[in-house]
Amino acid sequence: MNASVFRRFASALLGIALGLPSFAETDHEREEWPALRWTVFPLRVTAQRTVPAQPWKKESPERRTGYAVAISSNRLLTVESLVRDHTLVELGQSETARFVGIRVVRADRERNLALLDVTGTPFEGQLHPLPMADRPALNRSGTLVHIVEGGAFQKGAALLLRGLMEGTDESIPPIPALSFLSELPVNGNGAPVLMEGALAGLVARYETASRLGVLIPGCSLRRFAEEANSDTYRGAALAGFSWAPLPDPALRAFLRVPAAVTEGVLILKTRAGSGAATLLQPNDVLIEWDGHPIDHQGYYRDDWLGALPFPALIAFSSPGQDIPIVWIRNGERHQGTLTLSATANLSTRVPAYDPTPPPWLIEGGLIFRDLSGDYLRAAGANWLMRANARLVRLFLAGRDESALNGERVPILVSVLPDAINVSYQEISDAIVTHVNGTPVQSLMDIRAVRARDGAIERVRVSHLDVELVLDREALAEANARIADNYRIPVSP
Amino acid sequence: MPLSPTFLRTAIAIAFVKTAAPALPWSASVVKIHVTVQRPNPVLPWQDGPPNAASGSGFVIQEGGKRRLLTNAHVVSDARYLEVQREGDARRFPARVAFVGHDCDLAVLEVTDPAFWDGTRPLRLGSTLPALDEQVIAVGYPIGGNRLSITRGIVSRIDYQVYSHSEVDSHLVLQIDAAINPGNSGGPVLYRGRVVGVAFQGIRGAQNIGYAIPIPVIRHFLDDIADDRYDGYPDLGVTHLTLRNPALRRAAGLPPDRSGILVARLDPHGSAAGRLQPGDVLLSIDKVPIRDDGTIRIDGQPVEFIELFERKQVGDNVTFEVWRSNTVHRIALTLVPTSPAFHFGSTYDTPPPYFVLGGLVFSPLSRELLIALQRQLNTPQAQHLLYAWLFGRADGLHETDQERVVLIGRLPHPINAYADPFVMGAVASVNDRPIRSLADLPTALASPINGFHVIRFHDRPDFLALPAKEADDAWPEISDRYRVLASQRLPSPPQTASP
Repeated sequence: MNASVFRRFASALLGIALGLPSFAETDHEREEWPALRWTVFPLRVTAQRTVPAQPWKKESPERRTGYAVAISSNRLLTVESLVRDHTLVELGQSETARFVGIRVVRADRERNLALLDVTGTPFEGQLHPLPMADRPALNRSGTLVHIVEGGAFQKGAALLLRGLMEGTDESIPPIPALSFLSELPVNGNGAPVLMEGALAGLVARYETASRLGVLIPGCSLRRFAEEANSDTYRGAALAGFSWAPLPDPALRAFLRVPAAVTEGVLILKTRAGSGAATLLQPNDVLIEWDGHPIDHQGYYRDDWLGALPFPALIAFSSPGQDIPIVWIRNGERHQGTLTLSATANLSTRVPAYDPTPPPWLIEGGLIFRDLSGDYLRAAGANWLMRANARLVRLFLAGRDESALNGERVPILVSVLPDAINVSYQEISDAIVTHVNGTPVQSLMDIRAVRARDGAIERVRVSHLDVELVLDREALAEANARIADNYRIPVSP
Repeated sequence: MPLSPTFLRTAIAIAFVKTAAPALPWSASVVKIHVTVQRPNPVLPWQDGPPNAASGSGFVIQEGGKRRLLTNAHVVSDARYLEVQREGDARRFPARVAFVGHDCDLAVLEVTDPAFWDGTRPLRLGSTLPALDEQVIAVGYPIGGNRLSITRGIVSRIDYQVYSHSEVDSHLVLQIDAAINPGNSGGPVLYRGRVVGVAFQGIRGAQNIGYAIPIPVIRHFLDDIADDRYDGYPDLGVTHLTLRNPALRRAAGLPPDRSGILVARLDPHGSAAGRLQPGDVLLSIDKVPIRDDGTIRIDGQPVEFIELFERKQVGDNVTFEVWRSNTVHRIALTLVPTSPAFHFGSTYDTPPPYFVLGGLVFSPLSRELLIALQRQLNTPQAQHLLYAWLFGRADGLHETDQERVVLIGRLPHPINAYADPFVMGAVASVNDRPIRSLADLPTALASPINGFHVIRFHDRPDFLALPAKEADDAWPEISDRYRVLASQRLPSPPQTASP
């Protein structure tokens, strides 16, 4: 028995053992493989993360490889985690060694999807798009495709197991996804799973040891592809409230939820400017979302994926969509229509992650930037304990607060020692409240003050009741000296 | 009965040793302290950990006509049973702690049996610190033997350092290159026959570096207890910036011929509150000029200006020359003790307060609690505790609250089946009454809301609701099942220290 036959035999046995359809019956036998060379492409990414505390610096380049799948003659989709912090994204072709730099049109960390464009490259107009399988069936196998050394396509069965909510990052809401089991040790994220000739999803992650992976389903790909093409991309849909399970009978009784009502979750906070803020209040009990009852743990019954946390319904929707909801307040049943907001329109006071590159400013050796989750996570695996506790607290509170007027938390990261800033060199991770006597709520405000006054002379931080003063006369010379000494490019 | 050869050999050996080794001059002064210690359990605050035996050193002093023993606070902290033993004497005498200063790691012991004091000789305290490179000796009972040990070394540094007993208080230390090992603690460090320090800590992994509490700190402690009460060190309550920066000096309006430091923030409970202002420049303290880098000169040596406070007692007056509004002001203030709120030094000799409600265990945030729960701190739920610990004072939490009351655990019972997500939460209010200390709980619990105890937490929007009557009724079962003998141990009312 050769290895290939053995693998097929073993996977069939596994399928029988799990009570699942045999891999031998899957669609992959029927795929037309020659067409894939213009549909599935290897992607080579050079990525460099910014050093959050010295935002003018980049860390050592990191190489990643994965896949992109054509969705039109010039555009492809891949997972965002593959192209995150990219310096260069190159598209290759399976049967040639040719790699060409291409453009990232849009990358959405919250949806973990990225749209790529090959216009102006030899690939322009050459791509063969795949149709999308909107809701690939569970408990059936599709064909997982990747490319092995030498450029040959390799295929394997991928059994779609169940729906789940996949979190790429603890500060980003999880997204609906499908788990799959595959014997093919897929060698890169973004690899497609095909079903009946259509794109069932893209691999977001795969663990060789367990042979389990997670797939972003076709319906999510389709929605992103449609919206990402727009110049007014608004990001994922956002309901604008935080919630908690409500299983505790005592708390339900205290909230006067009728005994006959066994479902519902507790509304904790609503975000200013969101659709939820117009309807819901803290201590409301949300019992129905778009016609789906929500149980006390926050699950609903999805026709396609079975029991799923109800935020999946939000993720499956688009900004601007009207959602009928039902809630209980003070024992009374209420209903209304909630208009979903867009993440892009409702930024938070402390964003989970930085834009690329994160804006910064140095004046007299004082490094300013806005607080973000990325900045705190740079403290390492135990960042909740290791990062500055005052800033972590602000992050945990500010990540759910709308920044309707662009408010952020501007911080004095640290001080690059120089003669101009003696007396301040031990100050770090301080929250900046005033610059030149003007209240500031973001780095943008600090820049505006600097542009207005020509220099930053006085800085007030939240934990001191006096200002840090810089010598205006000496500032220009000091800035040049500091830039030279510490090899800092001109502050943007 | 004939003597066996073994007995004879032993007797001859002892006789030889006795005749060959004359009594050391310090054997009438330095004693071994035997102690049985029981530390409280911060997670199960109604019970203590197991008893542990330990030993240390101490020495006889004579203050105000009374002979007593001086040792380290950490030798006798949480002692359940205390005995002292003199060199060459098989008898052990019960002793008691008369005074303890956990902030300076010193304690005074009393022995009531007059037989103990027969033939003792008090050591004389030095009046000044030895200079660098001067030779000193450390005397005590380090591990590895029951006889007095002497090590010699030189003074290698005199500096400020955090005292590891409290983990938060910094005072002057005498660094010597004589070996100081466990058991040496509490023994005297002598220079020309006089006590200049009390051996108290070393550096793990470092060789021949030992630390002693120097004579100014010892003198401060003994002077403090002269009125039969230990008040501890005063707290100025000033956060300052140095004025090395010319632009900052100019902004403060300080003339070129003046020097000082800039008051950047005032602690509302500190000695300077209401007297100094942010933006003041402290020019001198008790007529000793303060330089722009925050140092003063004492005995020709530059030291941090705060050292002058090391020599002050609670209730003493201090006079500053202050540059304010382009004028020199003389401002006198009376020194007050450090407020314990949000201080988070190590706690000793006091069992942790707690309160059990419906199987939910509440206790004040403490250093011991944080250490015990450290593996659970890497969660958003517990983050507030870290914040309160590290920034509580700087951010003024102590202006309104005495402490953070924490839901430290759940004794499982049907009444509290859904409370797990709230464990490690810091209680903000109970039944809409703010909880500023554990002592606020009984009053707040007297007024349930619609038959429920509603418990809200800092930095989280969700809350707990316990049926009030059922929570009270659950106590006998919880008490019996988990052997919690009392539902609460509330702290004693705070003692007001007279300035």
